Amino acid sequence: MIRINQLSYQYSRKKEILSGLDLEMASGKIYGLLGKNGAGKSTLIRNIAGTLFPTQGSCQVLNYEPKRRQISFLKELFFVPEECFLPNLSISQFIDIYAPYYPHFDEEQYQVYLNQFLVDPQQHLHALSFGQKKKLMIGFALAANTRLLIMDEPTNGLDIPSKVLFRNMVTDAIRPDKLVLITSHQVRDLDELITDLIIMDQGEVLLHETKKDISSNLLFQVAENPSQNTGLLYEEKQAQGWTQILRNPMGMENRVDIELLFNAMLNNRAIISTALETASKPELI
Amino acid sequence: MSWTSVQLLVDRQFKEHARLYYISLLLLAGLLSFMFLLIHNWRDSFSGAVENGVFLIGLFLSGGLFTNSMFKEFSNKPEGIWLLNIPAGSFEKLLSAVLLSAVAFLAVYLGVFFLIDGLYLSFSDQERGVFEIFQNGFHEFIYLYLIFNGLILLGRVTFIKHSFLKTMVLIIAGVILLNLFNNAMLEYMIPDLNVTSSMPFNSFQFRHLGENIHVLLPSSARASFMPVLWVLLPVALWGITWLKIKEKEI
Repeated sequence: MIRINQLSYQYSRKKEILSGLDLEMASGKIYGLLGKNGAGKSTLIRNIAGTLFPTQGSCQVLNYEPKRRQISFLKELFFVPEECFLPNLSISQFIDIYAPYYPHFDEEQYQVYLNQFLVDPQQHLHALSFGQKKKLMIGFALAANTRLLIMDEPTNGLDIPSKVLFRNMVTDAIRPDKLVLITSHQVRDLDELITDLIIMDQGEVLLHETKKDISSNLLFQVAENPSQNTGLLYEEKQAQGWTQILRNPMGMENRVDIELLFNAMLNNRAIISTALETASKPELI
Repeated sequence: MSWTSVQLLVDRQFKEHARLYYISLLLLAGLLSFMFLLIHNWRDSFSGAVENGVFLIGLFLSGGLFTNSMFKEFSNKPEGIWLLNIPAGSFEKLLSAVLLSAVAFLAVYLGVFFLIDGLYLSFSDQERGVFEIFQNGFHEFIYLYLIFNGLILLGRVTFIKHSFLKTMVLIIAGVILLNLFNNAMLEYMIPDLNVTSSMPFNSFQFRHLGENIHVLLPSSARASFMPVLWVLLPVALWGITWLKIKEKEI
């Protein structure tokens, strides 16, 4: 669905944000794109959404070139940027004006989302708080039923109950022909949600794996003391004890600690990558 | 191109700025009334068709500001991304802006102007008739407004901040340069003439034996190339604006 080949992006001659990026994303999945500030996440998703054009390389989305911004492509894409813009309209006017652009928009679905988020459909958009605006936009984005949904920091501004609702809504909305790409600094918000993880740093992809593969190849645990285990790949001291990543030769099912993995990739990329690569290769007999 | 999409875009632009547009309409009516009142009170100080001046000031001032409200989303990143991602073509987005800022604006402006002019005539002791736009080629200023509209729209999609001011500075600089170039060409072609004033594509004036002599371009020459200029120039400017929207990155 998304095929990125040797994509580079420069804001100026001296400032390269993305460099020779290769990435493929398939439909039916929810991707979490993680990275520090300035890692290139927003630049990457804006290249995918067609609001920035690659300096070099190519980006194919749903067999379209996003930079051409063809109408048929835009009808299948919904992009929720970090700072949501909502026009000076009432909610009903907003629906009347913008819903017709999306052929699969489901107004009933939208009303359900508004009810769940406790947003009054009679309100004026400019009277909403930042969090309410975000909820309204997320609801609209999901109800638009586009094949590609990109959300940049969607959980910013959401209260805790709304974050839970958000996760359930996205999980319910995913279909085999749909791809959801979410970026977030708040790693724990994506924990239960995503199926695939992409970690970026300094314009490069450090990790791109399914959560299932990570879980079957790495073991995440909390211990009272630092580990002496030879299979230890990474550990750090946290409030609850020592959180550790170990090799998982038995493929024990366990919960991926995305935050720990993210730190491990930034601090010790080579060891984690090698562990994942070695584990994924079948042993020769 | 889809007309439904253009209609939705026009509807979107109008509804999102409806309050501003209604207030501006009242302001325009107030401004025109004020200018008519002014020329009425000082009617002995003004000579000639002063209503022509009122018409032009109102047209270019309000038209420029109104046109500048199109694509205002591009001066703000989240709004710009929102506009670019609306599932409509760049041409449809441009066409909706032109329909509103050129066609609809002119219709509304002419309506308001004639209404205020009519009211002014009915309440004053003026002997003239209703303002005639097609007299002495005055309607050519309407074509000039279309060029002006193209320039403001182009400035809107080119400059991120203070686009109106920057565009106006460039337009004024352009007009001054065109006049200087025109004078230089006249002096080059007719070196012995003492040219006192000139208007590109129109006329020039020179002094001869103490008298001012006004030379007008033959009407046949104007008739042959002016329509081309009036049509081609705005279309070219809208065309460049369309390309700029297509290439816009935010």
